[in-house]
Amino acid sequence: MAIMYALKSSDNEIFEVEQKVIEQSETIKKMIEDGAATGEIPLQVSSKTLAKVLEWCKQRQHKTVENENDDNKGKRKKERDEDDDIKEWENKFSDELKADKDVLFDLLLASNYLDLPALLSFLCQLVADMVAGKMPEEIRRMFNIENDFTPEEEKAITAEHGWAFQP
Amino acid sequence: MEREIILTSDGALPDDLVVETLLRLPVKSLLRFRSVCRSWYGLVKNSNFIYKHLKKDDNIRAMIRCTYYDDTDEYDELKSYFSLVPDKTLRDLSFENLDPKIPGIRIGPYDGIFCLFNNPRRITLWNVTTNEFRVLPKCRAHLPCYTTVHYSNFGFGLDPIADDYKLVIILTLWHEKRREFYDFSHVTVYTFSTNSWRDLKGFEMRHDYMYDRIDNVYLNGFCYWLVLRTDYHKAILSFDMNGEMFEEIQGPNIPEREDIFESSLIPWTLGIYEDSLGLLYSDKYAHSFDLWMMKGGSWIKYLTFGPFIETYQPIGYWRKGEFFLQSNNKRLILYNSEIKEMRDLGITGLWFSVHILKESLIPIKGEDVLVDLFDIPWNILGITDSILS
Repeated sequence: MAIMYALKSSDNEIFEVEQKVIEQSETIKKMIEDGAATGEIPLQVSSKTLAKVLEWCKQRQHKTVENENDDNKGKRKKERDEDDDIKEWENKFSDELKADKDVLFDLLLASNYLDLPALLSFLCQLVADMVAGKMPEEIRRMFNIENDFTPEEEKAITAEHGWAFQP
Repeated sequence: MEREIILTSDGALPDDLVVETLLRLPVKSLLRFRSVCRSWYGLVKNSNFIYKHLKKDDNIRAMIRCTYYDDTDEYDELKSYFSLVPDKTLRDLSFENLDPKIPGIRIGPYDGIFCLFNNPRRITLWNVTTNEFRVLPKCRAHLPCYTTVHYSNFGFGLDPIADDYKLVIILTLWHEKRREFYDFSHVTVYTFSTNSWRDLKGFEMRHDYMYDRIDNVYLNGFCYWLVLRTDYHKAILSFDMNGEMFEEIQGPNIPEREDIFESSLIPWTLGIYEDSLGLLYSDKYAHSFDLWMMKGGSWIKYLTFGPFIETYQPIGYWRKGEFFLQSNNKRLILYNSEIKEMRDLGITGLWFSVHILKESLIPIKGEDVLVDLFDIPWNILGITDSILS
């Protein structure tokens, strides 16, 4: 029988999760080990974001278990098929996040807070792919950054590598 | 209208996550994003950031040099091109031909930098991704009397202790009066930070090596050249970029043929495999390959692949478990030893060489005056010490 834990989101929603799934988070793992996690584990993450985090963790857990059960024979072929399945799942996951950047950024913060390096890396790459072709003005809007250059300075920097501004 | 992203109270990502994201961007995007704000400008110019960006695992692209036979041209039948394949997976093989940009002889790239020899008596460093150049001052080596340069070999890479790039040139000299090779090679070193040349003295550099290639393999502060000695034994010459000393390293213990000359003809392919010095070896008449790796000062046979029905020539290294080979019918093949898959890359040529390009932000031009104008908010990096270390 799998050990279950109850996670409580910042808006007080309860999520029942298997220990193995949630232990991917170093933060929660430590809380469990320290014995701080009796009863509900309160997290500074909204229910919407936490649902996404758990979606990711379950998919990861699923993959690990399957690999443990494999024998070596035919494993390579199976691994490749699995890689295709995971790719497909990740693409769908990415598409949903791309459509709602608020959720994406919240999830990025949550993966950092919960110490989920694989998710963090995946999301950083996703953001990088999304912004790679954008212009500085779009970046400022997206990251809520103020332009603190004088117009002369900005012109000089732009001129330094003018080719980088071509499509 | 695009919706504003409100994440935290000030609507911005924390600095460490911004750095993590920017590390994953191509050089072109980063050069453009320098004009987002001062802190991003400072970050993209920061040497820790540049180093970390360079060393990202997936920062590799293939550059393919191909020489082919063109029977439609009756005057110039042998042609070649030097191309960059932007697709990291090598699925899409459309490429950019770099020949018009860099005609002539070039070596590299090392950390995204080429040394170009297209200008007589001048060497130019070129960062292929930022498209920045630096023309080096003239190299005035003080050669012994009656000697001339017979051939030159090059090594380029980082002196990790001085944190400075160096270009080392080994000049094999010819004695005009004695009509023979001069006893010692002459070595001259260019240092990036001082933008100057100096001759290396204080050791006797063997003169009788035949170099496999004009350029080197660089790894962790050392340059390596594959050399053939006059006794027809192969060896590896190493140069310590910091201590500036040469050393001859023995190759792996590969059984030799009775005819030592015949053994010497079997190619060794030197390269970097999983951050170690690798040596790919295939017996000329066999159909399988051994990959030897230098681990803790000695060679170990790391993996073997094949035997194949056909014979293949080793060309170079790609990602973990992947090697470029040339098939009998002159096609470039990417072989994955883990899943035992041969992938025909659809390119035919007489000779191939494959180089690995790492996109690099390393500034090539002289010091940028703009840097001094700005008060760089170094705190953005202070926060990310753990990421950058």
